[in-house]
Amino acid sequence: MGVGGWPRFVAVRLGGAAVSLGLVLISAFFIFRVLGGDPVSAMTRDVPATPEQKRQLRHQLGLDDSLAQQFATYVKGVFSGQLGQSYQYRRPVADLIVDRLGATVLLTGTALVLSAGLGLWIGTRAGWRSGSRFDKTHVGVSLALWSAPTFWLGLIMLVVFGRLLGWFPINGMRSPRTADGWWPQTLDIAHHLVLPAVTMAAVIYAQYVLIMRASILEQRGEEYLVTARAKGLTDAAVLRRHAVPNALLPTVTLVFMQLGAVVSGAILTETVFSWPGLGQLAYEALKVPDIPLLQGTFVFFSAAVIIANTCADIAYRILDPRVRTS
Amino acid sequence: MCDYVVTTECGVLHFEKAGVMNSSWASGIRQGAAAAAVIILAASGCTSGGDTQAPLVVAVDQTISDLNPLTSFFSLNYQVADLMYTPLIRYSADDFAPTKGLATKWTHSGDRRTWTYTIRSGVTWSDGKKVTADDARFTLRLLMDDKKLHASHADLVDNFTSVAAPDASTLVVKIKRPSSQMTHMDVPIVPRHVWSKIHNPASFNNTDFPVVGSGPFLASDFKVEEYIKFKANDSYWEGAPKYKSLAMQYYKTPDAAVQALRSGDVDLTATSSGLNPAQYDSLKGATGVTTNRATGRSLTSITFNVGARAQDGTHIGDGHPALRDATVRRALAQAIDKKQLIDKVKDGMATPGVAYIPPIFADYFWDPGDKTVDFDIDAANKLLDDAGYRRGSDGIRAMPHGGKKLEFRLLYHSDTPSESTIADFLKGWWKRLGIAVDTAGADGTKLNDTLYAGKFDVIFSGWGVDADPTGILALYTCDALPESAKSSERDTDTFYCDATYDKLFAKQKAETDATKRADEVKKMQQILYRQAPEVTLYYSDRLEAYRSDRWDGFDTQPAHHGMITAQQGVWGYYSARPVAHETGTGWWAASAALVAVVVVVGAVWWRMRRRAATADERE
Repeated sequence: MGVGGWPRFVAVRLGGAAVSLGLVLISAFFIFRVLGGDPVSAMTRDVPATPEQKRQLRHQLGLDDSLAQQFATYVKGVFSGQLGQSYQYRRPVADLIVDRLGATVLLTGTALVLSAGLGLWIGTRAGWRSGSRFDKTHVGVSLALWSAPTFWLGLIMLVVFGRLLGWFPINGMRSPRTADGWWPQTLDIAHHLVLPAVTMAAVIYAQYVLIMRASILEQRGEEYLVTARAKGLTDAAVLRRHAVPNALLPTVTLVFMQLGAVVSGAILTETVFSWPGLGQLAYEALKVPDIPLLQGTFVFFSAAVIIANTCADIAYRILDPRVRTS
Repeated sequence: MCDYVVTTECGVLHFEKAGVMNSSWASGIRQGAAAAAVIILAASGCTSGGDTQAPLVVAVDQTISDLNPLTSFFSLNYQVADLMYTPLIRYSADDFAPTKGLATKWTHSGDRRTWTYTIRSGVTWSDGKKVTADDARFTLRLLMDDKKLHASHADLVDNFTSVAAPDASTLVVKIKRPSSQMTHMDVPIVPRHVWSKIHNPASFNNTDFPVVGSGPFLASDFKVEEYIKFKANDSYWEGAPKYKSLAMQYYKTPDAAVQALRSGDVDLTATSSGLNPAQYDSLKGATGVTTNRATGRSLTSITFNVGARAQDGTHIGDGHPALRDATVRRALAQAIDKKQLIDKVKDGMATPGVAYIPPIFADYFWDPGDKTVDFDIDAANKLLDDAGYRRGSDGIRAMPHGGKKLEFRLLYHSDTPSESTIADFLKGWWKRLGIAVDTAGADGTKLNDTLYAGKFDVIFSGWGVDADPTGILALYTCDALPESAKSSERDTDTFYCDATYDKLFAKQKAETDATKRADEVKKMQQILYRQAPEVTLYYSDRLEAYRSDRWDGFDTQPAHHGMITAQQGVWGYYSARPVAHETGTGWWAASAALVAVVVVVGAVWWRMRRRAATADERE
């Protein structure tokens, strides 16, 4: 396939992404209505309201419309860029998502950098000296952590480092007593970030270890490495300059896919650590159920993953000429 | 800003806090951390919290999305509104009686359809402008005219015909039907000169800081699910609070709030359902912490499917027909040992349930006296025997004349562990009545769906009760039934409908004489108690705790065995007094720990690189 295949390739990928997105939009509407539940009773459970007040509220939220009417309103909203109005927050869903995005990106972004950095480094070393004690220990540990449920690991971290040792705060993103000002606030947030970010990273870094390890193993027997050695390069230089760049290719896809998960992957971690991000927003919405907000976060999370995967496909093709010809 | 000496002192303080380390590694880390701490100090300046500025930090958990006082749903909304805006009439701290707020006097015409409120003189908004009757008129008109605001206040303002402010200190409200609500006008009054400029008051977040208000505290910062910060209103008409700032900090898990109280991050727990008995016990005797066990406002009950139907008479669901017989329900109620339940699931920290309204509202609480139904399985068995429910060969009773066996489904909230324990007890007691019970758990959503579909026999329920009982009593009116089998309203708690009860409900709603109204409310409870569409199992105590090494003077509501938080009003927050002062070193400990971690990680990485480099060289 020549260069002429590019527009076609991109068009096919984008078309596929658009179809997936369309299906997500439709299913988002129905999934959360199948859940059942009554937002109005949830909202008035705390301070009882009279039937008249509830009727008014139901009307205001559009809950007394038929399902077809609700679907029409939803579709119209989506195409005019509106994700609707949250029941419990009474604010546009899009605004809420934008508000919370920062906290989530901070947490998952940090976790992604940590896990990719650590995972690739360990994977490289483990693959280069496969069978060594380093290899066995690290692959074992990373796999054990990969199998650990996030919420469980989070709770263990909370108990050990938050409660028993008291090194880290156990809740939220800021302490109430922190002095105002950029430095104290930033340090405070960083301090709060440690446990959730480490928890997330600990659970996902095994993927990088395994892919990088396998990839390095594959490269190790290649003839170009023999040539490199024959030139008189040190072992470290052969690894760094020749083996790693080639072995990195498969991890690109993984990094891109994880980028999609950056916005969605933190539901459990955020809930355990009361981190005020999108994950917690979705969790709070589920409790009511705040249908427009659930729809909005669902569409947003799915869109992020779809877009990231499409980008991964395209980037991989740019980076690796072999994919183009095969 | 501070000078070099103070800076060094701060640094030294940290080191002592960091603990003892003896290896050469440790000394390296210590040096690195010291250097980093000094750099940060130089960059930021040493901000030490002034003693009088120490905030009262309150742990909360209820999500609210804005600070708009006119669109309240959750009790935290109401608390925030009460902190910032004085209503016309408040609920007293002593006994929930109507107490002067912005109004100092309220009178009504002979037909109780014209109400005149005298507005307190000399009160100013926090921006210095005078509070007048026109502000009150403006607020009430807003609730009548704004479509969305109307929704949450329909019950009050639909009854209004006119609202006028003939002069600065007089507010006149004319109404269609006499209403008890006129003596409980607790709507927050907002400043006209601010709110008249707001384009869409229903979606106004009220986060233009500093917020202009008339209450003891004014919001100064707000981040959803993180914190709400308030500054004391120095010009508050009742006198400025005794401390400068109040911070509500979110703790989404109660255990985290308890931990924060222990560590001193939090001064007072105000989570929506209070502490649980285990948390409360764990805090007893903790240094610097005082616990408060108060009479609560919440009730836990079971309700029976008394024959689910719509207002048009259509039958709904598949409830057991025997439960339409009040005798069966009474027998079931009599076979519940409430005291034992309280001991087993609440560690004794609750009051046995009677009719409906908890004893904290002494005016409305109805005590059946010698008619109290005490736990008595024999008497309950006799009730069923006399009513013709005979036991079959398997020991299970059946309805008279060869009817259906008494086999009931009991549905509890699977996320409330105490309910499954209670369900087991009920099953055991009712078995001794010759009644078989099949227990099942479901999450709140599914449980409610089952309730409104009428596909239950016995189901768990629970409510927080308000000082004005209308809302809670409305659950048992015929108006709460769905209009038709297909309509989606979900107002009823048990599909109960009784004409006498409804008449009393309307009467108490219109009654403006407190004593007469209390009488009617008691009569309604008497009907509920006798007809037993529900059984109130217990009223949970409200359990809270605070740092008594720093704060005291909290006024409780009611005065005797009262609560500090979750009040109707904000007496607890307003009356708090700092007893000792905290020096603001919290974030220093935090940053030292962080710096130490960074330095250690950096040092390890650097050493490993060096080792790797030399190894490579060797090869």
